[in-house]
Amino acid sequence: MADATFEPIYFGPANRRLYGVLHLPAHAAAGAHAAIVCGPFGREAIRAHRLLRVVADRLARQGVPVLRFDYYGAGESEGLDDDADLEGWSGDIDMADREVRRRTGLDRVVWLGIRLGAAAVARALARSTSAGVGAVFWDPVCDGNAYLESLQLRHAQSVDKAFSIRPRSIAPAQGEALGYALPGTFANQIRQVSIDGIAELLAGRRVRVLYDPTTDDGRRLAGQLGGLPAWSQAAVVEHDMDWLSSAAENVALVPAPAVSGLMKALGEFQ
Amino acid sequence: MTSRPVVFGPDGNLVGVVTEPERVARRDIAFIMFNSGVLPRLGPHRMNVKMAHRLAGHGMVSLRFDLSGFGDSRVPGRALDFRLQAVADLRAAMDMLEETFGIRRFALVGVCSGALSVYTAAVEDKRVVGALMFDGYCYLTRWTRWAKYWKRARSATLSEWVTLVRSRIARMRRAVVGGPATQGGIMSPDVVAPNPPKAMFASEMQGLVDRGVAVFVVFSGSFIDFYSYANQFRDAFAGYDFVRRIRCEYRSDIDHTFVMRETQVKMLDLVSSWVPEVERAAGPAA
Repeated sequence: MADATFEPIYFGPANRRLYGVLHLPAHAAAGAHAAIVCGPFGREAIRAHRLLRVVADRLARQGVPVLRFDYYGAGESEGLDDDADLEGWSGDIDMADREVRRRTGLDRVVWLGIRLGAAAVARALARSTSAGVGAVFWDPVCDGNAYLESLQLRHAQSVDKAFSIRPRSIAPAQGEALGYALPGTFANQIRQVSIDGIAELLAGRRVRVLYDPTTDDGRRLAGQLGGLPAWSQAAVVEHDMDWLSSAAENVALVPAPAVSGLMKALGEFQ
Repeated sequence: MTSRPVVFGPDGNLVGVVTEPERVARRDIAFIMFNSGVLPRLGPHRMNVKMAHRLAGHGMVSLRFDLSGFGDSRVPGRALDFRLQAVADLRAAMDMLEETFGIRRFALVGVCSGALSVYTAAVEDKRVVGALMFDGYCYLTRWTRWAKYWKRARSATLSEWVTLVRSRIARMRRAVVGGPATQGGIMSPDVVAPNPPKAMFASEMQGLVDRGVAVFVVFSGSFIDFYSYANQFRDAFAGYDFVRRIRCEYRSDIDHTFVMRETQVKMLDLVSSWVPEVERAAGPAA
């Protein structure tokens, strides 16, 4: 594989600066797409961090430029937890798309949307008029209400385990989950996330959907796949990764099936 | 407040973000945060980013970066073993801040495994004027176990009482059969790192306080088996001079990974309260 460079950057306007990492090949493959990584939320983003770096490195060495970035109020981007907003994040995807096109000169980009990131990608796709955009959805959140419930349940479990003896002074959590804010607007946006109507949204787009049929979201998605356009494809990627587990727990940080599934799906756009 | 990415290290393998406040109170001091365990430099639940924001509010520059092989940082061509490499990386971070920003005094913040690296780096590098170690090395006393039993008994429900008695009986059986006593160590159930010998630790800590380093050790409420009462650290080193000259707090209301925003704020408040101590340790502004 060829060499690639790695450059951390800040981009975007002064009042909404986003952090990203550009993985640039020494020579872009002919007819290449660039890729932008639209990651998950909160603890899931931490869980995926290492994996996505490995995938981005490998893609770049295969001639595919990649921009990994953090949404406003998340990761290394500016803003606070309380600024979380799916509509804002879809705008961040537009910004990342423009940035990678500017930096690479390429006019075709694939958006990799992971978990709640897939919902942000879907919002951005719904209003995008660009012909040169494809998407890969990996383990998309298919039922926003169920997702919120899972966050709250896991938060309660984490708080129970966090202390040897739980202090009486600790108040019940409001508007947060697993260490991150869940402001009201954001929570309402999440509740509206649904796999219903996905086929109409994706009409006219090249899309790959990667899902794990052993999960609740995977089972919901499997039921909708028959409605996907013919040029879209779905693939099973069983990776045994508990998205909501702490990265410090003894679980694989870079499961091989996930890496190979993502590489294959993104490679199909080249 | 502005943030800028930096790439540094002898191999150009280390990646971090420097956060500069709008108005810098001290141009000669920087705070450095880095990985806890395998987590990226963001820290548990973005804690290092929040800490950088809080420090910027005090007019302090900070760097958060990934150690070699973690987060965005790569392994260097000639990597040392983890513990030695972490200290080498911290020194590279200090070198970069000195060369690029003219900063010569550093306050290191380490959580869990990071606390161990802070300790060693502080001992080895005289540019360190502040060392905050959260859930780092701790030493048991004869009261640790009893304080734990007392607190558990006070808070236990009936079923928890039954479980407690059963586990105690099981442990007594193991003790009769034979097994190592708990000596304490790094404050994580997943990673066990032995404490330095007590005399050596005391000697090195004495060296830090004699050098004027603002040492702040904090223990969370997550590991009552290893740290169970407020004065444990001072009792463990009773009779040693250094222990009267460091700051030590037992915060049973703060958890090891700050999984609640309430505990994040409490930890940030501790860091805020430590800033003036670091400034005093650094001496007059250069």
